Amino acid sequence: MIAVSTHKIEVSPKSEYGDAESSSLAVVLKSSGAPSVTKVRKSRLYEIRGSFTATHINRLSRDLLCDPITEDFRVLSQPPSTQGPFWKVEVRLKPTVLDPEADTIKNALIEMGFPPPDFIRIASVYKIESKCGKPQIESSAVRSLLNPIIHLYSITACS
Amino acid sequence: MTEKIENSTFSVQVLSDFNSLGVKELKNLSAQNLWSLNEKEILAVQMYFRSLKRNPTRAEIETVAQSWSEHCRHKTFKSPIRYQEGSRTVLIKNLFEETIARATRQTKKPWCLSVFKDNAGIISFGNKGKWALAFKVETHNHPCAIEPKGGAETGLGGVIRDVLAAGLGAKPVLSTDIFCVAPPDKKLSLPSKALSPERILRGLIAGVRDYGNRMGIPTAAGGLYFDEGYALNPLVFVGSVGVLPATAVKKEIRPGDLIVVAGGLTGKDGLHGATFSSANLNGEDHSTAVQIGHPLNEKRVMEALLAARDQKLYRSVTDCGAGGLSSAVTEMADIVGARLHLEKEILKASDMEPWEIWVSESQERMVFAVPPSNLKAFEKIFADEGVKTRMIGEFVKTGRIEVLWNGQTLINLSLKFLNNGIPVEEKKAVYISPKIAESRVFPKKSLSEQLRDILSHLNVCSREWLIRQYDHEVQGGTVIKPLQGTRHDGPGDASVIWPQAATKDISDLFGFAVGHGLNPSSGKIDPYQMAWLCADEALRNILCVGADISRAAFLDNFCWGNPENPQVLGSLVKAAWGCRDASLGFQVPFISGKDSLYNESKDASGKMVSVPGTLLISAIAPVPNIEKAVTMDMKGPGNSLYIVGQTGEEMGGSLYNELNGIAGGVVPRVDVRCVRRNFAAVYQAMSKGLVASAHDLSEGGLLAAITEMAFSGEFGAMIDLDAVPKQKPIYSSEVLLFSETPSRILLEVKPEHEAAFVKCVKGSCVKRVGTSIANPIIKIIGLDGLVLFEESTAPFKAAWQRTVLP
Repeated sequence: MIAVSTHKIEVSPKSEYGDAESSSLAVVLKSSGAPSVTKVRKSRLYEIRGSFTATHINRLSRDLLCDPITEDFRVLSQPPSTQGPFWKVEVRLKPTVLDPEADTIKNALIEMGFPPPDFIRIASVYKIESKCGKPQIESSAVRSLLNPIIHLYSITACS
Repeated sequence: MTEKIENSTFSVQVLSDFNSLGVKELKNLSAQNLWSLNEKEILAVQMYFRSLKRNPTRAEIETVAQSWSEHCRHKTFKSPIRYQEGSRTVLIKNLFEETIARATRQTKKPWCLSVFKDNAGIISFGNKGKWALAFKVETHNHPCAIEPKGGAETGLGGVIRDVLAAGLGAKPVLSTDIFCVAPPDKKLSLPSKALSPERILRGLIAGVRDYGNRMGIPTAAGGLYFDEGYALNPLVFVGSVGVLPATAVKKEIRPGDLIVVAGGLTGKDGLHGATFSSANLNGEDHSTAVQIGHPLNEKRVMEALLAARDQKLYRSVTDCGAGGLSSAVTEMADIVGARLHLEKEILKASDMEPWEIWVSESQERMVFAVPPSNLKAFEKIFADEGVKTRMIGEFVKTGRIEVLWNGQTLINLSLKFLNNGIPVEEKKAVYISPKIAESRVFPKKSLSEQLRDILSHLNVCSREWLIRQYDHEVQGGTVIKPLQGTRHDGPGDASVIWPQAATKDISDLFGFAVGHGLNPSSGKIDPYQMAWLCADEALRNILCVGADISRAAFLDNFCWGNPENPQVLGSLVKAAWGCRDASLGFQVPFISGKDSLYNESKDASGKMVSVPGTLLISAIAPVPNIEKAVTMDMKGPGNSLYIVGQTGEEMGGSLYNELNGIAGGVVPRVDVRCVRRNFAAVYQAMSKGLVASAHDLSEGGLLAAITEMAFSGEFGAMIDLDAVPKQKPIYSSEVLLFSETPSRILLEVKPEHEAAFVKCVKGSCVKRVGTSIANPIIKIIGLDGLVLFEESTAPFKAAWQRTVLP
């Protein structure tokens, strides 16, 4: 019997491939009130709760959650080592808002023969390198990365 | 998440003192609950329940509110209007009936199979009338202003479901999208809660991209229009075209048929979307009205529906759109009647009141009328696709809508009251011609700078960055693509779709084209002419790709401000008259349409600002042989260039005037008799394969059009302005080069086809104005016979290819 636990998997683009989305986000953030943004790195964070072994998690991350050619995944067991300083903005849908992506992943896991998960939550994580203060990062993130009507977000300084 | 959640334990909520409330309390109640029922309407509801000698349940009022909402009822278009213009007063009984519907009746086209009745307009299609085309364009403005991506997704999802629910179901083969937003490069002062135009645009594109691409439907026709008037209220038009067998057009309901819901589960998302569309956006929190699309769910519903249709397992279908089950079931029950057991609906949220289940606008749901003997087979098809179905009631011959909740009566309303009980209120409309001070400025810029400014203008420049995000090739039927030319980057006038994915017959070369006409800048000066210009532009666009416009049909979409304001309604009436006259003039019927009103919001200073009255006319017409379709890129040197139609000195609303700061001017008029003759001749020539390329003259006029043709084909052109046919003598070369007189098309004809072409267009206004040349330059000979302009096309292409967003 495998114990039920929550697994966190972070998927981010490999450095050798261009990351068009992140570079475009840097421009967008600059134009929405955070002029000193130098770099943005976007990744996806999956939180999956269920009875999964480490092998399960590795397999489902490689086969389902990431594109192994252009993306890397990391299973986060403890707080990740950071290469700061940067601002980390985490954005997820409010629980009352339909999350089709989580729904699709859940169905796919079952179809792939994994045990059905209890819940799946997906967050977008933006690591923003900038000299701006928190209020500036927050206001530009609200203007460009998320919509407070449907999203919850957190902003933390990482060093 | 898809697991079934135990039905909510809430019980039926009766508004126990409703019948004894005073006017003020009733009005407050309506406002508090977002019912959007005005004073007269809520009083009519009270009268009805007083006559029944009982108080209503909350669900009953919600049903009435949904059914009487602007969104479902189109109150403005269907109520009497007292129209005043100067000393003239006109009484209109029913604007829709007297304009658009009347024009359609009078054009008497036997190939119109279903107009204004079904979820989409349906016309006959194909060689032997074996197929039919369903076309619908809808707006989704309010949801997109709040959450652009979710709004665009669910807008597109909704219109696709409309086509799936046209007749017994059409297979969607094309999606269209038109966005009207504020220019992202201008600094605008917006209220704190409003999203920036750039943000809105990115969201809208992402929504259409994510939904359309995942559904496997090409998004290959559309437009993008920028005007500061859309800063607070962006307009979003999404459309869908589907193909269905002609035998599947008719739908019916028989008492005894079961009511079956299929698709996504019901949750709290999107509560009050329909009544919300009748309210102004006033900066309050509208999180309950936000919907998120789930394209994979809809894809499954689509596949199952088409399979069930082909096995004739159901008799009628409609989609759950605005108003949810309440609107869908009431609409289907029509005059028959329905009895439902609402506790049978499957929920995805546990804390739902019965009335919330009834009006929830959770997406990707369809309602079917299934004969009891087919239920098992029907359920199996859907289960095989992984779609949940639930039988929630049956149609009964009572003329009532009865909804039970665990044995208790939740709703018991007569359909007669729901359909006809809405009090009619006369509305006032006033039209005052806008006084625009005429100003004549003599532009100091050179022709070359003028042309560069025009081609790089936001409303003209390349949309490649947007088009490339959409999958416009899926289904393998996009024979004429949105981007055309040697390098597949020139601005096509329209796309041609060959729906072999739906007909499954590759020997049948019948296709169709879809085009749009949108001209809000002329509407600011003259809304009546705007309608003509939109109709003309839509037809011209599809004619340019070789569509048979004698078989064209129109769709209308009106987006206006608050119709309680007589001046706003006045311009709306003018535009509707324009639609009627254009439809009769061109002999092209309207087959479907929609209106979205109350597009107004408070700006940063608290002033109410409404959108410019915006009319979108979409045209659809068959291309009887897709091998004869035409693109806009120049095909070779030494070919003759012909211009169709006369040029007039009509610069009002033109881009040239806008860029040079010239106000006012004459809005162009359409000389319909002449245009019909010209267009018919052009179609004849095209269907015989005599036209090598065709491009319409729109924003920027002749010079912009010829430059686009040349750089897309990588050739050049020489044009003699003296040869350009003119309505009256014109002595200004700039007018000839930049006038936006409608109904004009540039054609390229190869020497070997020239004699036959000239014979074909005899008697119409089609004149030779120049030749194509191998050198990629544009050379214009002025009225004085001297070279007026001679430039390489390369810098102009570069200017045109600027991107709208970083």
